[in-house]
Amino acid sequence: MSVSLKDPVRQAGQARRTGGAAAASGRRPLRLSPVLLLLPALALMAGVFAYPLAEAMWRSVAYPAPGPQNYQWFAADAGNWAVLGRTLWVALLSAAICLVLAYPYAYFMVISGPKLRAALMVIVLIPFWTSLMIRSFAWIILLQDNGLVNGLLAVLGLGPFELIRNTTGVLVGMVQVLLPFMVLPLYASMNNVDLRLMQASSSLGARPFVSFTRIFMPLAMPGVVSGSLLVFIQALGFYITPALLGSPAEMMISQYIYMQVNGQLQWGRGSVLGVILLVATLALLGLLALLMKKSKRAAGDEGGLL
Amino acid sequence: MSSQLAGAGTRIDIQNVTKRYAKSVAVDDVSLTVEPGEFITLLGPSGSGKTTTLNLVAGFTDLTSGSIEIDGQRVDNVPAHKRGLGVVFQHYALFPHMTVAENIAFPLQQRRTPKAEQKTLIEDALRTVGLSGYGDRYPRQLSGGQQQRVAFARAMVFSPRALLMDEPLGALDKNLREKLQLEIKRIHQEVGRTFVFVTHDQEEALILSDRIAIFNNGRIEQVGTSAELYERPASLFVARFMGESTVFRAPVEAAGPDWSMDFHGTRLRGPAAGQVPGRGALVLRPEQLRVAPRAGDAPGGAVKVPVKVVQNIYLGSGHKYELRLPDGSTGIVRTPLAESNGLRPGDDAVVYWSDRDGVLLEDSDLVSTT
Repeated sequence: MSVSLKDPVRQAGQARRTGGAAAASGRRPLRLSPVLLLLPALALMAGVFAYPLAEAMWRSVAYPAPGPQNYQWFAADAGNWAVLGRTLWVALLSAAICLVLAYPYAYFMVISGPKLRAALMVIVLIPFWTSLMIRSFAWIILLQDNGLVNGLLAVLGLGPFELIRNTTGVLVGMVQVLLPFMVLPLYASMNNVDLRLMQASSSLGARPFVSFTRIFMPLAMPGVVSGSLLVFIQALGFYITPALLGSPAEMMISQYIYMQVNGQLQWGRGSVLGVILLVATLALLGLLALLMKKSKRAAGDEGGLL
Repeated sequence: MSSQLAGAGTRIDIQNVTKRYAKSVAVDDVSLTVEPGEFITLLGPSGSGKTTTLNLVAGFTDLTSGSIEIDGQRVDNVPAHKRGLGVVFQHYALFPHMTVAENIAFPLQQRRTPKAEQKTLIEDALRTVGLSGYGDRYPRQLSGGQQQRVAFARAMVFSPRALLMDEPLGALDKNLREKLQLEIKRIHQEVGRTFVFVTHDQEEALILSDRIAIFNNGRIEQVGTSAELYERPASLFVARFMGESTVFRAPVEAAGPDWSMDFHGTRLRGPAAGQVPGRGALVLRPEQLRVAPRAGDAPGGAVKVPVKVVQNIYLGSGHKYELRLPDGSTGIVRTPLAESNGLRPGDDAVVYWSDRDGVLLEDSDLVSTT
């Protein structure tokens, strides 16, 4: 029972409304109408996310026969670990490349005038509105051995390079697809930074580079974190782009799952791959959240992104 | 108590400075010399060019023409971070991701001050602004007034050549503003540096400044001490901006030292004016004027103008009258309590003053109320 609440009237009110549970747990009383508002979304999530997830977890230990054989299969084959490692690595690279490309772009958007800013925003969004398939096929045309890019490189006396049917091709395609997911949170975060602080910083004797690294960058950090997470997590599960621009020899996990399930009807193994990807992702995010929490505590910041 | 922050003042020379934007001129041929150790206020309505002038000195804005010198050294091509001036902003501009101590350490780090010395300087600066022991807090944990004190400490801790302040009290409520005004004055006396202060509040300017530069339409109308500006305004704008006044407007006759003007049938005289304009505006301060029920109540030599009483306000220390002049404009009179005369709104009365008082200026108003 609650002992620490100081306001007996409120406590009694809470107890009356919620049967004492909320008061005891120290939370605000639940009212019915907000829960009703959540129901449609919750129902959808339960139907299309929670149920299939539970099903996959079940299949990973139940097909073709009950037991841990699917996990044993995954652990025993070095090729499986390579696929998982490659997937995490490609997703990490995508996020890193997106960050490097998007940071200056978003900064330029913040410091430019309203007209130019609108134009830059449209440039980011146009590919966003185009079909993923069309963009991936377009990259095939551009990057193939006798494509436009290699043609231009040949004029310069370079190449031809193998730009497609390998990890390079996958990275090019994924970065292009995922770039808006980096630019938009970065821009939102940078736009919240009070640029007058840079003026204050220069009046205190800081060179422009110091003002940028010590004032602007830390204050724009939330955008870096949320953008990187968005890109990384989406990149982990990407299927179309790696399937079209990648190679079976350098498979990513989504292709591998497809292969196991559709090609070999190994439902159990496909499920194991999915579960392991999920666990690996959650573990990484947990680690990141822990690090953030630590650095946030050092910075004395209260709110959190994760 | 002598502070470690104390130091000699710096001279700032602003010469014929103009700042032109695409469609407007923000600062128009402004010249101003700030003496070492002086507290000077740039005072004017919004859009008069005072903040732009400050930004030009700070180096946040490039000037179109003219020059700015600090201690005889030309700085208008020197970037802001090399000018060595402390700036306090209206919006505080504290770095939200740094503690109070880290904020104040920032300018010292840029100057590679040894760590141990930094610590003493930060403590000294915090003590000067009355915030000892607040070093570990974050700006958002402080009130507006406390944040502005930290901003002061940060702008002073590196012993800047001068301190520039852009409406630093503008975001604070009245009580706090008055308290901080006195503190700024005390800090100025303690550290003895050159302070340049921007405000639109003439009362604040009067309280703080050694000298005030009055800005209007991108130009300086007049520079002087509070008393000079109040007693000898150089233009009708200055007279009206600095305190209350009653203005009698009429064409000037009989130019020369013995000027006179015919104000709706009354002959007005006054002290000799330097340059007697064609259209005159005789300015009198509220305490130079008296009001009486009948012309006979006024002393013989006084100048008298018939008026109608609009308001008679009891102020405790005395009365404040609002009067309707013959040309329809408003007159303001303040009298001591001993001279109460029972006038009420609507009464006919006479406003009178000694012909040794008043300042004759050119009537610069485009619209005539006659």
